[in-house]
Formats: sequence, structure tokens, C-alpha cells
Amino acid sequence: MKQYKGQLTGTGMVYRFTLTQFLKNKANMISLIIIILFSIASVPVTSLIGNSGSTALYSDVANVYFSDCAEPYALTGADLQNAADENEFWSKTTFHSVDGAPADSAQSAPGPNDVYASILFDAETGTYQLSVTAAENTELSDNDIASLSTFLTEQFDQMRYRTLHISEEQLAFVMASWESDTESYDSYLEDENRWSTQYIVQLIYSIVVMMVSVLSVSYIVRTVIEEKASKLIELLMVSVKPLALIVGKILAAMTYVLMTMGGMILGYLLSHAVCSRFMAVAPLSEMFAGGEFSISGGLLNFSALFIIAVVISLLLAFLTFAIIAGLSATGCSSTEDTESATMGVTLLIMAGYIISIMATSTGSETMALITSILPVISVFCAPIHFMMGNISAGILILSWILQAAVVILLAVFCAKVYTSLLMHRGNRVKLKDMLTMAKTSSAKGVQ
Amino acid sequence: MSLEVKNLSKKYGEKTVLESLSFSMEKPGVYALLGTNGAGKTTSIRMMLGMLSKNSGEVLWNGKPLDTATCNVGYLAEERGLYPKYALMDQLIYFAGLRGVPKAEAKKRIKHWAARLEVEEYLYPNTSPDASDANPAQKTGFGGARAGAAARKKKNKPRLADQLSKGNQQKIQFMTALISNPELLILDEPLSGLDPVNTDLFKNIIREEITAGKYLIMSSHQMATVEEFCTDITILDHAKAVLQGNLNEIKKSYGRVNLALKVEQDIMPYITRANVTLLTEKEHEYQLKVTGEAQANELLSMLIADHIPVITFDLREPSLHEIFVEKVGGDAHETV
Repeated sequence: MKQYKGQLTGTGMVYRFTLTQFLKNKANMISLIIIILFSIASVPVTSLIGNSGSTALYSDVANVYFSDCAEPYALTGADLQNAADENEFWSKTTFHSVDGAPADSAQSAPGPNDVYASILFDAETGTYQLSVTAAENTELSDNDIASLSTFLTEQFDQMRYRTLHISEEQLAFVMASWESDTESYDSYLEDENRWSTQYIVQLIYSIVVMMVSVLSVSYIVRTVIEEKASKLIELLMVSVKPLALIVGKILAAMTYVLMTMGGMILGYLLSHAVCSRFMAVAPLSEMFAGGEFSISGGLLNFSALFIIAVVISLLLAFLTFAIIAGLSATGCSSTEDTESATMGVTLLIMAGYIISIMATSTGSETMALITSILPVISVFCAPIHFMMGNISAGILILSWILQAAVVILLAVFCAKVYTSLLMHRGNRVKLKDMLTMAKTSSAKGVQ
Repeated sequence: MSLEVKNLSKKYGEKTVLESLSFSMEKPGVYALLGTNGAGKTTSIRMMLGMLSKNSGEVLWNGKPLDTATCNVGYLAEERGLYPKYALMDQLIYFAGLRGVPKAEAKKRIKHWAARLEVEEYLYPNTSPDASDANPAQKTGFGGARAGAAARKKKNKPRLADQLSKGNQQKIQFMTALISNPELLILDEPLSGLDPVNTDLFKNIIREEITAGKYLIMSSHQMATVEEFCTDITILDHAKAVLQGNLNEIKKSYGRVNLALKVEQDIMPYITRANVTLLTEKEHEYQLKVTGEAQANELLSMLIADHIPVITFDLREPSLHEIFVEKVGGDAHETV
């Protein structure tokens, strides 16, 4: 234990120095600013792209010239105005009655934000026809017209019910709107849309794991190779043990990546808070309840268990790829090797990402079980399959134990070869050479 | 305090790179590890510091295995390095911190060594004389003031390692070795690549460290420097120690065989008659190799007997350079 403690002496110092240099690095600063700017911009951009008139506060339609309906279901511009006065969205729209005016008299509509509307009964088909006509120079969007059409048909239907003397209760009963049921987690499992939900959740989670891992790997590889290429290793090894050196760097990279992710989230929240004052932005609760992705609120009701599962899996993913990145980078001697050192680990991450998506897309429970247990892949799949009910808590814990065992094996392997790798000069060390180093180290005992 | 190196050996596969190296330092001083390129000097140092695994042997400091926990070591590696894009001050504080020097104390020591090694202008740009250059505004008006302010801002920015000359980088690296006030200072080729002025600067500091009672191990190809500082030496050749011991005693064991003779006429007939080996001759200044004091005295007697005025008669032990060349033969590539 004492020896182990001695191996890690100086980790804090390496951690603080590496993190400070990450933060001072101009390229990192620019990347961080770009990431935060993207997250800030994402709120207004997605709102503008996804913004249909329905989410605006008021309709853009200024005047509606409504050709009054005759008996038996008489609906006039005055009726529509009364209804509009009680509806905030239509409160800035004026409804006018036009007696018997033909539908093709739209040219008489005076402004670009005005429309002519009429409802006629087609005796041949036995259906009502709604006609909404805008001027040639109209500035109204299709969404504005669609919203108006919905409003007019709703009012006409209500008029029909009133004419038929349907009571308020009956009317409420008949007019009761549809509302999505907020299902419980267990009942959700039986939902026929389960596949698409699982796929989307898996996709989002895998992207997060991939982003965290790839970012961490690139930072670790860069800092390790930079140190080796700068011929600093001998100087450092007089003061600090190799294990402390790599652990300090891994922790610094993890902190920096977490700070980057935190910056993204903070930027998004800030942008949301500001944008919601000036434009129609979906509330955060709605987004997290799955409104953005048509996912049941029950599933994404982030329970503590789900968050713990995600955090543990993310941590294991980070440690796995970070140690591999550290080993890969330490086997290099010059900055020219940075790309090749990063490539191997990135490919491994990409493989995990793709397999997790493909396995989920099959919807097979066997695949879910295999991918949840298989080390490296499991960090992408296990928490999602657990939350979707594909695997039990026992399997989830087993997957963590297996992955933790892999991390420990990698750490032991790293401890065996790291000193030799640090002192290595020349071509990039291959896995085979590392294994030989580990064998030699085991035979002699690590110095 | 004492340093003891016992039977240090290292093999890479079948190739032996160091074979049973043993030496000890019972008291403060300078021990030199000498040898041709690839003889095993740097390998020995790396093994002593635990950077390379040993096939056999041990290194003891006060009877305990040498470790950064048991001994405060300062090391100037053969492969000099600094973080090229990091501020020098950050790096020095970091290296000091790793050696257990608190930040405040580290700053004091950095200031001290920056002054001693004449690198203050790179570490403290705002206090260096260059930072208080004449105000350009006085000369060129408002535009000049703006340009001057920008220039000062740029000038006052702390330097990065890659903005320094090789010599100045070496000074910063020397600072990292000294900053923890080490008990044992290991210098691998400390003076290589330095100009004469900086060589003297380094030499003065090495002398101060010796006076302060430090243990120094030095590896060098500069024999004159080794002779200047070292009390004990090991000469390595092809992974083996071919000569070890106290430098004075080694020299004495060779006897006084180098004769420098200055006269006012040609004395070649006397040299031939005395059977003395001529090394060089320039304007009646002779460098001769004698078998011992008796042969030198015989030559001197002949000259005196014939009334030939002798201006200089200097009989000396062989130089370390000669001893080195004799021991490692044609493999020697060192410079004097």
C-alpha cells in the first residue's frame, strides 16, 4: 500500500499543471469557445427552423373576411370574432362578415396579411368545404393558413353542436380533446413505439460516450506525445513516478472534457433562458420529457438510478479509452506519430459506437444481452438496455464488473510497460512489443 | 552521507550495455563517469536513478536504495528538454513542486538562480531593463505611443521555451536541476553546447556546489573540465569499467612522463642521444615523452653540461586525456 501510495506521489501536481496548460492552450480555448457558441446558437436556430406558426404567440393573420354560413348551421364573422377574443393566439386577428361574397373575390382582400374564407356544403358529396384564399402578394405562411383552417373548422363544428342543442356537458364530452397519456416505465415497455424510442435514446447516449471518449483521447495523446517529444521524460522521472505521471494526465483530461461538456450545457441553458424571453422556445421540461424526440415522458423521467448507471458507464468508458490512449501515445517518440496513435483508439471507440447502434436497431434481446456484457461495447449499451428493461440490474452490475476488470488489467499492463515505453526512442511501439515488455517486466519485477 | 553503486549490470537481449559497474563516494566531491560514445555512461546514470531496470546490482544512498524518496536528486539529463509552448515560470514552479518545493519558496529560488544564470530577462520581462525602454510617444507622438504600447505589451509577455536560444534553454534546464537544492547532483554532459562565457558561468556554479558539500556525478567528454573538478573517475569502455579510482593516484601511478622543455636553440641531437620521444616541437619549445624522472634528468644534465640555457623544464604526470586515450584506444571520440 505504501509502495502504491509512493507510485502516485505527485499525481495532484501533474494533474494541476496539465489542466492549467490545457486551459491556457490557445487551440483548446478556441475549440471551447466554438463548442459553447454552437450550444448557445443551437437554441435560437432550432427554434427558428422548427418554428411553425403554431408555436408563435399570435397569429400573423390580420383580417379574415368570412362569408357567413347560412342555415341550418349559421356561423358569422361576429361569432368568429367572439371566439377569437377568448383565444390569445387569435386576439390580434379581426374577423369580418362578408354577405354572400363569392370565394373567388379574394382580390378584394386589402392587405398581404388578410384572407377570404368561406364554408360551403357540397350536396353531391355530402361534405363541407372550407375555402381559405389569400391575396397574391400574401406574406402569410402555409402554417398561418393551416392554423386558421383549424380554427375555422373547430368553430364551425362547435356551432353545429350548439345548433343540435347539445348541452355544455355533452359538448365537453364530445369535444374532449385528445391528450397523450404519460405512461409509467413498466407500461411503456409494452408500447409498440418502443423500438424507435430505444433507438433514439441509444443513439443520443452513444454520441455522448463517443464525444467524451474521442475528446479525452485526443487530449491525452497530445499531451503525452508532446512531453516525450520535448525530451522531458528523464527530467520528470527523477521527480515523479510514471504511474503518477499518466494518472495525473488522465484525470486532467477527464476534468477538461467535463468542463467542456459543462460549458456546452451551461451555454445551452443560458441561451434558452435568454431566447425564451424573445421567441417561442419549447420549455426545458418539455424537451427533457421527450417532446423533441417523441419519446415517452415516463422513460426520460431521469431517475437517480438511470443517472448513476450512465455516470458509472461513462466513467468506465473514459478510463478504458484513456489508458489505451496513454499507452498508445507513450509508444510514440515524435509529434508526427500523434495521428497514428490517436487513430487506433478512435477506431475502437467508433467500433463500439457503431456496434451499439446496430445491436439496438435489431431489437433482439439476445443482442442486448451480449452487447451489455461484452467489454468496451458494454459502456455504450448497458445503461440504455437496463433502462429499457432489456437487461436486469444484475446484468448491468456484471457488465460493470467485467469492464472494471478490463480497466484494472489495462492499468496493471500500463504499470508494467509504462516506464519502458517512456524511455523508448525510435519507431512507434506495437502491441506485440508492448506484450514483450510486459513479460520482461514481470520476469524481473518493475523497477 | 555516502553513495554506493554495486555491481550494476544491464543487458538488452544478448547485448551487454553495462557490466558490473561499482564505485562509491564516501564524502562530498565530484565523481566522473567517462567513456566513449555508447560506452554506458548515460545508461549507468539512468539505472542509478531508477529509470532503467537493472539486470543486477544496487545503488545505495546512506545504505538505503537510492530513490527520490530517500535522496534529494538534481539531474541535468543528456537529452535536454522543456515544454516548448509553456511559460518558463510555470514550468519551473511545476518542476520545483514535483521535487517538493512549495510555490513561494520555489519563486524565491527561481529568482536567485535566474540572477545567477543571467536569464532574468526571460523570466521577469517586466522588470528587465529592456522593458523600460524609452517611451516612443515622446519621439513619435500619439501613433508612436500606440505602437510603443503594443510593442511593450508584446515584449513584456513571458517567454516560452522555444523562444530561447539553446544556451539559454540549457540554463533553464540547469535551474530545474538545482531548484530543489539537491544533495546529489547528476550532470550528464553539463557543458556541451555552451559558449565560453556560459561555460564559465556553469563552472562557477559547479564550484559553488562542490564548496557547499554536495555530491556530484558528472559525465563529460571534456577531459579538461573533468580534471578541473573531479576527484575520482571511472572510465568505461564497451560497457566495462577499464579504469577506476582517485584521479591524482591514477596519474601518480603513471609517473611524471610528460616533459615540456623550452630552450633557445635546436636540441634535437640531445633528445636523440637521451632516447627521449619527441611529441611536438615549435620554435624551440618541445613536448617530450620520457620513461621517468631519471631519463628527464639525464637530458637536463646533458644540456647543462654543454651550457645550453634552459628556459622551461616542466616534468608532469600524463593528462587525463592521454590516460583516457590510452585506455580506450582507437575508439575514443572525445574532444579536449
